[in-house]
Amino acid sequence: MSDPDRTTIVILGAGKGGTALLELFSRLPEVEIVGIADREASAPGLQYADRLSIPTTQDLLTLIRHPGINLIVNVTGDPDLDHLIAAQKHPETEALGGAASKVLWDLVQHESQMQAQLFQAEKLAGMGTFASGIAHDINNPLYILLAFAENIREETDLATIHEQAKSIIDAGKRIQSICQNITQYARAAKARDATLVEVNTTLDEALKIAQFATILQDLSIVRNYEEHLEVLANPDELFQVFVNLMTNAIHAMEGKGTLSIASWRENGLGKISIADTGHGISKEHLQKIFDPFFTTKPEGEGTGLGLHNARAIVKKYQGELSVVSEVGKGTTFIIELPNSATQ
Amino acid sequence: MSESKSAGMFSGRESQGLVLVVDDEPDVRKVVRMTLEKSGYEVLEAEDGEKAIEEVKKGENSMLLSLIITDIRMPNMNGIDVINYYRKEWPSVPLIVLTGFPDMDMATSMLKHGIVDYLVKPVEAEKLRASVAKAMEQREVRGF
Amino acid sequence: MDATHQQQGGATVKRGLKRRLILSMLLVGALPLTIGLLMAFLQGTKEIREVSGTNFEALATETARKVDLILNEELATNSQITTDVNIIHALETRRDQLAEYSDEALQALMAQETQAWTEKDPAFVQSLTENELVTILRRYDGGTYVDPGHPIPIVTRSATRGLFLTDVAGRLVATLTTTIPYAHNRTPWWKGAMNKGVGQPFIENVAFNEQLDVYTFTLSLPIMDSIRYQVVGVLHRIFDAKEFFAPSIETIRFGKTGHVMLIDGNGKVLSCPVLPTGTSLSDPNIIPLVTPMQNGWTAAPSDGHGGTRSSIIGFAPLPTTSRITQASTGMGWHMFVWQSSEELFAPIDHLFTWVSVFGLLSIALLATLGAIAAGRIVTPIRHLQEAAKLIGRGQWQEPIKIQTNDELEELADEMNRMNRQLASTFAGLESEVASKAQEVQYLQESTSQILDSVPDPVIMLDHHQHIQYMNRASKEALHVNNNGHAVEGEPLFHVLKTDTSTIKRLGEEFQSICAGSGNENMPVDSASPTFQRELRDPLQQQSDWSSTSDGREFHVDNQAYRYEWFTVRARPGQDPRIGLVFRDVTEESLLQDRLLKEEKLASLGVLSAGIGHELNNPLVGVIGLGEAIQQEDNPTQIKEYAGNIIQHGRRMASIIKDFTGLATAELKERLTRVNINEQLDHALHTVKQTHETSSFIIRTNYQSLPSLNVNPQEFSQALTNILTNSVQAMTRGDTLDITTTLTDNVMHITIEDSGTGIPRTQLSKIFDPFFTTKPQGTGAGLGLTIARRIIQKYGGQIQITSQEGEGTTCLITFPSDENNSSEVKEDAS
Repeated sequence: MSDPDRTTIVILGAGKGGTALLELFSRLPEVEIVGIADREASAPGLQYADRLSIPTTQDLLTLIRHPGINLIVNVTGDPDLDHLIAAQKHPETEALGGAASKVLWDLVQHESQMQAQLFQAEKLAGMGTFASGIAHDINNPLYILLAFAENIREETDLATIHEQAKSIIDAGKRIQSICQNITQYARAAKARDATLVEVNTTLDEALKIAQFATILQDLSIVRNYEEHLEVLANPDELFQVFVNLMTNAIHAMEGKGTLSIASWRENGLGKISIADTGHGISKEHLQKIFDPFFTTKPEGEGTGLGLHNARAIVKKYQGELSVVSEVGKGTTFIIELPNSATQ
Repeated sequence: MSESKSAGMFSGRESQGLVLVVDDEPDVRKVVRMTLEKSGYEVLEAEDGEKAIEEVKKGENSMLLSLIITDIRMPNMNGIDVINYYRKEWPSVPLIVLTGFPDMDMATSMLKHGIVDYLVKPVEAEKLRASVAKAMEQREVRGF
Repeated sequence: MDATHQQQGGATVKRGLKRRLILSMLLVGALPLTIGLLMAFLQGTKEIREVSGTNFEALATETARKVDLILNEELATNSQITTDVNIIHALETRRDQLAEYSDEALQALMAQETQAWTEKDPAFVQSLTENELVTILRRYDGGTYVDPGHPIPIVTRSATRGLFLTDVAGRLVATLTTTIPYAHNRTPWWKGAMNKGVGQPFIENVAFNEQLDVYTFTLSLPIMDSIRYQVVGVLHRIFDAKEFFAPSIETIRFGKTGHVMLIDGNGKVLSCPVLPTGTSLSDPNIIPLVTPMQNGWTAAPSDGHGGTRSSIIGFAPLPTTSRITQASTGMGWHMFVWQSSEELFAPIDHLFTWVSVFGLLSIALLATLGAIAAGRIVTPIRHLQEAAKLIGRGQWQEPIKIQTNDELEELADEMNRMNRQLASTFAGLESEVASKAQEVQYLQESTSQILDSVPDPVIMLDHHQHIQYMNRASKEALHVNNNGHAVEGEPLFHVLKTDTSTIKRLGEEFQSICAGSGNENMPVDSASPTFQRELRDPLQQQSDWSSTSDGREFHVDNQAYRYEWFTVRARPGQDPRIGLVFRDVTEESLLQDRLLKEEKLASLGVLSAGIGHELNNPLVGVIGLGEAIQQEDNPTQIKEYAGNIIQHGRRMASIIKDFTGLATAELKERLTRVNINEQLDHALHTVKQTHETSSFIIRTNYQSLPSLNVNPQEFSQALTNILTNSVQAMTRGDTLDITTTLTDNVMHITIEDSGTGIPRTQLSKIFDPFFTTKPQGTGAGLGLTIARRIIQKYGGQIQITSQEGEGTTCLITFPSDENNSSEVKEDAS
């Protein structure tokens, strides 16, 4: 009844442990969560599942008896339930409970901790690049500014002085606009609720930041936007996703190529594509790129959480992040998010 | 101060050398020109490598060219490519890199490739002049 | 083949020298000549004009006076006639007779008498030509009725073509000639002389008299009644203009064409030896130039005689006569002196011609001489040119023989010498080898110079792990003294003192590289991992160097080094050389460890937000000052603004440097031993200068401490940052205690303030980049971050404890240098 490659899972218990499991499993494409059950209707996991469009129930037994389930995970911590499962489950269904599910729960917790750490580490690794890129962009006008100011101190011709003062002002304004761009990126991604986000301006702002990620570049950028396209998401998070995908794309091209960014409406969804003409991703790798910690970059350059997190963010807003790639030709990422018009 | 003044006095009579400045920003080129002309150097400007070659081919410039000051951001090239690009065209002309990238690894790697100096913007006028003077000295020692 | 080649070569040889020499001689010779000529011509022309002009003016004035005199005489003579009592009486009688006639009767009488006159009625004619009054007139004219001693000019008499009297009605009363009309009451001269009964002298301009067939001018004088109240008649005298003036004017000639002429205000000629009387001057444009009422001279655009060449004309009005003619006809009479331009300018034209001829002659002479001289100079140069060409082709062997006893001969000698040297250079293989050897040595020297300038330590080894070369950075890193014995030839691990396990690992790696490189000659820049890495995106290297996964690291003297092996291609038959390049990563790894351990990963977000905010204030300042300069004209003010911009700019530069961590990398070298206490004083001094501290109590209590090996500026900066932080938290009356102590070989620096303190919640963040409790813009928020970075770099630790409201204590510890082996790593945080 379902994909033979995928593992179908039922989660019993929607407390802390159940929610963490739900969060983890929902990100794995190999796992299909058939349902989650808890006797308490107010359990946090049930609400979370609702948002992910996963069936919820308070009737544990129906789920346990459900045919075609590969695995039942019991995180209620109720030993009696383990016996009930053993008695009532489909013979082919495996069950995980007691100490085993406790270990699994620990593992998940540890995992998410690691994830947070690595997320930080990745940020640190990227910092060098960004810092250098930003410094370069600021240092050029700063040099102009300082040198003209030094010259004005020795200059006697008023016309020249006024002209060079103009150059100083221009250089100052250039630095100001760079500062505004980076401050925008730095803005703390506060847990804001999803609002309507103007896609195109967010894309343009993200592009300004992503361009700091590379030096010695010769990139052409093609933009093809549908006007007034809005999607429902947290603007800051969406911004981070865009920066992430664009930075990846720019890195993949190793300084030469075309970065194409497009946005359009389709089937009541807002769609965004970010395409590069880089080296592409092989088929075997393509399946794994959204896995946590997957990376094709040399060690030390990235921890591979970027795409994973990006997909998590997109999914949080009932969206989808997909990828098409051909080795030697390039990679295209497509984001689908609910469009305001339909919601 | 007194040094730069005396150099300025010379500038009327005799050029201290012909310096090619390559940077995609006109104002940066203008600033470098301003700094060097005060010390009596003649300055040629170009916005990229191709323009640089065009510029130097004009008149007797190729005979007189004594130093190149360049940024390392150029289309289709990484930093070392840029160095090799000039090397291929004018093997004996000393190079100074003037860039906004504050990167010691880059600097080290460039210095290993024989550039005279790696200067990070914003560079003080005196430092730039000192660096250029050093390059000119090296040039004379080498006998080019 | 050879011939065609030579021909081609010959065709392209430049031969411009000779031409240029001749040209320059001509320029030197001919240019001044031409200019001199031109100047002489212009000056000459000018002088001739002035001289002639003044002369002509003088002549014109003189002649004008003379003619004026004659005319005055004539007036005076005729005035005598008008005052003759007999004539007056006769005319008074006629006036009284006529008074009885009515107008009609008078007209009828006049018509009748006119008819009789024109029909030459003998009786009537006789009554007019042979009466008493005619006798009187004749007497005056004949000179018999003259005051004694007053001769009547001959001219007048012979030039007179008519002399007659009219009565008050204009009827002829008495006349000497018959070739005149009878009634004159409608003629201009009559009306003018009658002047409505008041009377005035009238001179009529020259006009053709058809009855007399000559150009005449007339003089009319009124005859007043005896009480001189009313005009009773008019005396009219007709002169042949030419005859009248010719004796006094036409005799004045000078040169071939120079002469004087008399014209009226309309430019009509009264008398001229060239132009017939009565004609007008050919160019009406010059008339206003020569007929002003004062004398002078002018350079007129034409000569008035039909010539178009500019000419010099002197002129003068006839003073008295002109007054009468002005009253009569509205124009004066003018004397006009002229000479033909050809004649006038003949001397200067001749001069010009002659000088031109001589100039051309001398140019020709110069050209000839120049050609000869240039030939003498150029010929040897051509020899040299040929010889140089041959040398270039490597063919020429014979020495050049030039004996000019000058630079050229010397040049030839030099070329001969060069040729000999070239010959000998090519001849001997030994010398080539020697020069090659020199070149190799030079190459080695330059390589070593380049390597010396590399900030990373590099060591070159032979196949037996013996050192062949160490660059400066490696000597410094491994504390090898230059003045001691040479390190070359020493085994690697005598110099690189590290722990045994590392020695073993390095040794194994060395062996495997030797084995690898023995099989194939690895080119230095293609196979070696080190050099590949150089070509990468430099920004990736940071993470590359800092990745600890490959474990290629060793420790010497508490410093951590990351390293790479590389091989250098050797000459055939020789073993390749192995190179070791390493890099101090102590600071990097320490920082990284600490960051990870303390989970204080400063995110890019915090960093860039910080830089954005920090740059904003100086930027606003810079833009504002820039705009101020644009509106400012006062240089002093402008210089001040520019100075402020530079300050702001430098502050931005230092923020960016801190931001990118460049500051540390740049200041790595130049370590010296410093006294910590002195450094503290120095830092305190700096803080006192930049902050208001007079209201604080500052106490120092130093113990003698061992010296510390640091970069003084950097170290001082760290202390200044910490002290600044304290001072900024203090208010009036607060205390700052600075103490140093030495216990168990550990130096302690305590900086304790009684300021506001730091809240517990913020204490963990104070070393974070851009963390600040101060209002935005007052501090970069990097002060403590930098201070900690610097202190840790030199093996120190920094701790800050604080109690909100009571004060803050900063404790810095350094292991004493004498014993700074391994315990440094101990760290409370």
